[in-house]
Amino acid sequence: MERIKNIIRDFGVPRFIILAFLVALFIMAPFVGADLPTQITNLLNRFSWNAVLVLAMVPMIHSGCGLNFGLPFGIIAGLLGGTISIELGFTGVQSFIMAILFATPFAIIFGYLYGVLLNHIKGGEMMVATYVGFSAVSFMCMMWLLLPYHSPTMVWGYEGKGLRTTISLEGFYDKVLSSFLEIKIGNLAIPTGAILFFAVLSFIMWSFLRTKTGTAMTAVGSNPVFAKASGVNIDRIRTLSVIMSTWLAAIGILVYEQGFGFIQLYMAPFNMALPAVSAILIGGASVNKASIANVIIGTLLFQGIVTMTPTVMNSMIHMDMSEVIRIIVSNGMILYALTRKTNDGRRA
Amino acid sequence: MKNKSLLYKIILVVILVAMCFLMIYIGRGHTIYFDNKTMEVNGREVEAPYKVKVYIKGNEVADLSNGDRGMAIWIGPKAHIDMQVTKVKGGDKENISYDVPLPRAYDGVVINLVGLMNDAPYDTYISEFVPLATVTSAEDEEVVLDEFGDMSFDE
Amino acid sequence: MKFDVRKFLADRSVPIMFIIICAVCIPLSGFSTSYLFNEIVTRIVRNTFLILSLLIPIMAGMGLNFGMTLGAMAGEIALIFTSDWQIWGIPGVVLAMILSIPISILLGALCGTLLNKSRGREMITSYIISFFINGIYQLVVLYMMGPIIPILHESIKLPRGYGIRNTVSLLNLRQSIDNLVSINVAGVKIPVISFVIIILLCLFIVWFTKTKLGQDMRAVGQNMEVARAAGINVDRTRILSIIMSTVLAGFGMILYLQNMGNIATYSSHSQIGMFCIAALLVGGASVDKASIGNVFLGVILFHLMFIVAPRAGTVITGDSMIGEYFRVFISYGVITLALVMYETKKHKKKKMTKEGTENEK
Repeated sequence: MERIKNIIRDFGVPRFIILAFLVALFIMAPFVGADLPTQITNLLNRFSWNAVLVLAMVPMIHSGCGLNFGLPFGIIAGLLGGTISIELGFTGVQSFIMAILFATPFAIIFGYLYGVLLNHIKGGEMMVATYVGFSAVSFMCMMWLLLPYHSPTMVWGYEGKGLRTTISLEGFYDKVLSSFLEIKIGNLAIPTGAILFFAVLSFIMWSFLRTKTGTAMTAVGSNPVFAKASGVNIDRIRTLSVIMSTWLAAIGILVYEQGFGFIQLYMAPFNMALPAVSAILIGGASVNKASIANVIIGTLLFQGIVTMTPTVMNSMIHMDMSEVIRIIVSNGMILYALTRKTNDGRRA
Repeated sequence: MKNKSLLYKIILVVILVAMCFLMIYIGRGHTIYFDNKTMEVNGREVEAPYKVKVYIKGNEVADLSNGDRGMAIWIGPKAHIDMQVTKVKGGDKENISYDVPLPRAYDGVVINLVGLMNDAPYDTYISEFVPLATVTSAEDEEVVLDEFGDMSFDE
Repeated sequence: MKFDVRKFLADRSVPIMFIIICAVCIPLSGFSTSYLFNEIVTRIVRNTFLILSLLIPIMAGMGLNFGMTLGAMAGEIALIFTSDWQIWGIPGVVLAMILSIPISILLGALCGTLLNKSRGREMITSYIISFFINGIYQLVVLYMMGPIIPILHESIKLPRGYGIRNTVSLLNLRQSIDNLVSINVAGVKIPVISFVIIILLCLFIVWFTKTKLGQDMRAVGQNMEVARAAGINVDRTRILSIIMSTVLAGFGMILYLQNMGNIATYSSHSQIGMFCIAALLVGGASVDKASIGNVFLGVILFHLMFIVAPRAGTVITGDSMIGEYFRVFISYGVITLALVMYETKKHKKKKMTKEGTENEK
């Protein structure tokens, strides 16, 4: 009995409300004439696009760097990889692999710098991360205009320079993962490739967290004094976790793009940190605790709300309140996590 | 001490609420339309004058020939209107002022100046201005763009 | 004591950097002096009140109040009502201010309570609160105004019959305070009353720091434990500082919008916190220390940069967007820099005290 109570308490009231809301949406869906297989396809698709971005939260939470509001920083590395790959003329599956390869060095360099910075400001990571992300995005806005890109599919047609705000990926890596081994049953389509890709990354992450370095990372996050006493180089581990987060964010945006079909530049990365942060929190993570299960559950719940609310709401009350609900749910969740007392005593 | 500060708070709230009502009273804005049109006053037809110039707060807001309509803005419950009336072409100019109470419920108030000048009953020369349906949906507002332009991240 | 030139310059690195940026950009932009002076005066009038609202939470040690957006939203809701009831001119402004007070107090109390629950990360929390309340604001303004909250005029509603339009015109309120008494000095229009209001607020803040409550806030800002030991109700003091900031931000937003002449219902407030904070930091303030002088220097330098950067960027690169992005980058960069400097200092201090206690053992 005590255990059940504990589980409920750990689960948290807001998560319970969100889950109940989603269940209600699914029950309602057939009554308002929404086709369930289509809805599930939608959900699975959006899950496969976003899951890697959410996974990018895990390393930094483990090492005690908090929620990675600096996600846009890693996304920029991914955008650089994607655009360079197209610029150099790669197409099809090749372009996706090359995009990952090109994004990797950027992600490592950015992640390293970002990690070193965060080591100087322990305790204030989240706020600084937010603004480092913003600064990087606005700096890149200038760079997208100035960097010497020439590929006609990417630059503005009439000027011949400066990247477009959205770049279509048709002929490049549009749906390369989603269409790989895709399973189709009637209206239901499962983007197997993309889900497999995420599964592989999750498995690597899961096994990493069980290696010596991985457990050290968890130790740094949950009990830095103990970690230091047992001879762990805290700063190095933290930097490593930031590099991992940044790299995953870079890969995450490429996966997102292959599903979505477009590269979005300029101000687009601005919006991307908060949904990922709230997704992992909805999945049961807290500011200093997160697991792969949190990622999967959280992404499913969050994307479930994003996909289901418009259809159900629209046909029920003829008002599209989905955007507003999404804002309230996601930020409310982050707010809930931030205002909960962290019980490890790291912060007074 | 405790009671005293509570008393101050209550007084402050009362003053603020009172100011609210005062502001609603003195700040009610109206669009006034002036008609210089022939109308029936107490059962007899009164011809509109040849020309009426309307001044609000010293500014000329309308120059109305017979049958014209002019427009001005007034803030407050009672409009003070100065007029320069020319009865017939080439005739003498006559300056007159009126204080016209404006009905709270109307946003746009039409005042027939002929009725006003000839002491007609209040509700015969005052009427509500009803805009045409198309006017309300027109996008003719003065739009000043957000000065920080197109860089919002609208979360 | 010797005057340390290096320290003097290092403490003022951000304003000095901005003076250099402006000095380079002004000649490039080719704007006339009288145009620049007019613009600067307009922006001082528009923004100073809002920026001043940030000072009190800084004094209470709660950092940059990103939650000032809450006050801005309260001000907007109040203005939507005055606009709907057609209360015009100065009475309209006064009415909006009074109406905004209860909304601001409510939101400020909520924000303060939440911030008390998240000590040590007030800024990120206040930042997320502003997004969360923005969601609630949209719910109220976009869906509830009309069917639940009565709106009299169809003209400010969306054609679908509920929710407020993207822009609400404040045509009959526009610059009613600015134009009340204005004098012309060498081609520059100076709105006297607006300046008087700003100066009164400055005097209020100066006076407030000397009151019991002001002293309490300062004590809480310096050291919460010591303040608590001295019998100060820390939680209450912190909540009060946020409430005051929110109410002042609401007033500031109303003055800002009466100067602009219309409300961009869904976007006016979203950027305002960021720009006010950036301006304050440009004036040489830091996360834990800010003065009225910082506010004025900041508003002048920041907005000078804001006016000249796009044009100068166009001249240098031939692309008008570069300058636009440049000023956005600078705004974010300044905030980032200030946050990093503050957190580094805090981290060092914590490390030193920790080592100190360890040595004692």
